[in-house]
Amino acid sequence: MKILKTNKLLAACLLAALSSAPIVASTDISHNWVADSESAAMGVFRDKYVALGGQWQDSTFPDTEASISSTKTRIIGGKPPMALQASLGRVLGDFAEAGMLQNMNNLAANGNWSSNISASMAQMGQFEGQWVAAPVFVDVINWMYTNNDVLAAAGVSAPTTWAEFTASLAKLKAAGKIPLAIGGQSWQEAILFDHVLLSVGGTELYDGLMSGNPEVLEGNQIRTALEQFVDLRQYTDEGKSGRSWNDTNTLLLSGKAAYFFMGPWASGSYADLGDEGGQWSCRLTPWNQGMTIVADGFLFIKVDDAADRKAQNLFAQAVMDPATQIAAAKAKGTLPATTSASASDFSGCPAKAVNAMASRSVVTHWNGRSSKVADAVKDAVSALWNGLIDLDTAQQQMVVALK
Amino acid sequence: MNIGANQVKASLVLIPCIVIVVYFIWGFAGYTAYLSFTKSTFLPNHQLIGWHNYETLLQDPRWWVAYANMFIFGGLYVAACVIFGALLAVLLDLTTKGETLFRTLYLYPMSLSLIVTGLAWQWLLNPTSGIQQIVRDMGFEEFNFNWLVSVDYAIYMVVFAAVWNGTGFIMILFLAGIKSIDKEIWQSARIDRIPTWRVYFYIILPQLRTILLTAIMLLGFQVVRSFDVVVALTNGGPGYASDVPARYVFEYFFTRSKIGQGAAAAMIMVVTMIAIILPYLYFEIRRKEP
Repeated sequence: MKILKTNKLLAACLLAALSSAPIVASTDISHNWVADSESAAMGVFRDKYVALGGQWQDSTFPDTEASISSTKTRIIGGKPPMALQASLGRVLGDFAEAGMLQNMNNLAANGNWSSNISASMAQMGQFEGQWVAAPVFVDVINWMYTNNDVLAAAGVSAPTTWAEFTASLAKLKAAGKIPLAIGGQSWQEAILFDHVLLSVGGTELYDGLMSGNPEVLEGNQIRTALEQFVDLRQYTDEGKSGRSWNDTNTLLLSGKAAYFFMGPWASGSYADLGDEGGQWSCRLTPWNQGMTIVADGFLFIKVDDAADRKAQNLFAQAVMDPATQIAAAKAKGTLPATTSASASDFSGCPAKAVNAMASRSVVTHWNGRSSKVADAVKDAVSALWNGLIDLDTAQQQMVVALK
Repeated sequence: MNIGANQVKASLVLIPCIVIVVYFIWGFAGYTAYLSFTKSTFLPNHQLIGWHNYETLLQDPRWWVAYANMFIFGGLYVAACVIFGALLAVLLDLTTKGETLFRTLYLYPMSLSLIVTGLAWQWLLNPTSGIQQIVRDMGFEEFNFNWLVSVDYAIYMVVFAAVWNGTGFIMILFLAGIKSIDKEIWQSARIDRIPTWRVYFYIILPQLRTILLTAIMLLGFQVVRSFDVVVALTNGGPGYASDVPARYVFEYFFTRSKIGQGAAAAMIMVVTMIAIILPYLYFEIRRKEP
């Protein structure tokens, strides 16, 4: 039986190698890159994949949770997609522990994946030393977007330190603007907390908290960060409860709000306001040497059929190709995982990130860590922000959940 | 006992139906109960870990908020729907002109799904875009109506939207009941010169006891499965202040990769329901016995 299987595989490989027709696989790619810039990036990968001889098929979803649930259901049902686009980290851990991911070590060795991307990125594509995913983008999360017209109208000059930023909030409020735009989902609240945390203790404090260092968790710095975080609440608007990030983004676009802390996915929508540096700006905050990053890429789901495996390998080759990654990153407005990119390849916000990447210390964002960490941070921060628990309880809750 | 051929045929025809019901309802419920004792996280896992999921669940402050909200929501929703439904039915019964028009008007919200109800009220109740802003724009700068974004009051706004949606249906139930009552009661009441409102409250409505029980049962199911209206209106927020058990279970099952804990929460919902329904069933059965 085994020999028969091997023969079949060999025959399939031979056939595939001999014929120039595209590989007809019964599987596809599950993703949620539906915004304009995101689907343009996917278009770059698609063209490369097709050029290598693949036949494009995909399933799109409005958000990552829907795409993940569908993939999970399809795996159980026996018709899995060959790749799932997601933030590498908690999702990768969940799927890998369940034994649902394909070992891509051979392809990675042949394609020099380890030398093409940085060591920290390579780490994010692996589970227990095995390649199971392709890190294609580095998303730097700690961006602050400003509406410069709103700042000017309130007589506020663009802040260059965290202290200047907090000092400007009262002035903006007095001018009748929403100083700080934020939505009502726990992950948005946790992103705001990221900036406060970095401003208090840099990447050392950030990593200490996320990796559950007991001294850091129970220390005064966390307490200070939580206090300063809650203090920002008075500079937000009443309508934030339950608001999505894109609705929140509109507040900045329409000149109602001054500052917005959000990941790189927000920058695409500012094209309507012209180039960066004019009516709007993006900055890596809180202006110190810290940067939070998370890898975005593709998890390779276990598929058995020979044609599906072949298609999966082609797709992996396509997305790990350095030149293709750079082109796709440009389309998406973020950074490629490959180390061969230079700042001159980019303009606007991504160029700033490439420059910063060379000099700053980098720490993995909570979204790139396990479900346990991400949920613990979001839960404590959100409950505190919404006044459901007090400072002591919030800190205690983090100690219990993260230690 | 002699079973006729027809009865055998009937039983045979019913077997598939019974199998499907047993498998898809009791089978799945049993599987959920089983999962609540396992180490299931991202996927179902069959390693038993005793009461661990229940211990974690009962220590979760968020669960207690959701659980308490089920009773706040349930109590107010059922009471308000029944009271307003009965009142509207009486008023409609008294109306001589345009009864059809008003009946349609009051029943109309029910034709909207709860998700649409939730979204529409979310726009109206949102302080920066809805009623509060409109009144402020009319010149009343100090006007405040921000319950939807308040940790303490958001759940009451959920009740409000659900009552708006559900009252019409209860009204129709009562109206049908009122219309079915013997007209001679009215004639004798008129002879005795009893005021109309007293006829309703002391004679007519007390006769509608079965309708009241039907209404409470139907509304009770709505309470336990209340999910869509919360998702659309507040999504459990601010924070988790207006969370309800059904939403909690959904989140732990599908977005948090904690299937075991979600299953434990589902089991507590079932046990709670049984605890409420059993005394009622017992009472009803006892009553029917001679």
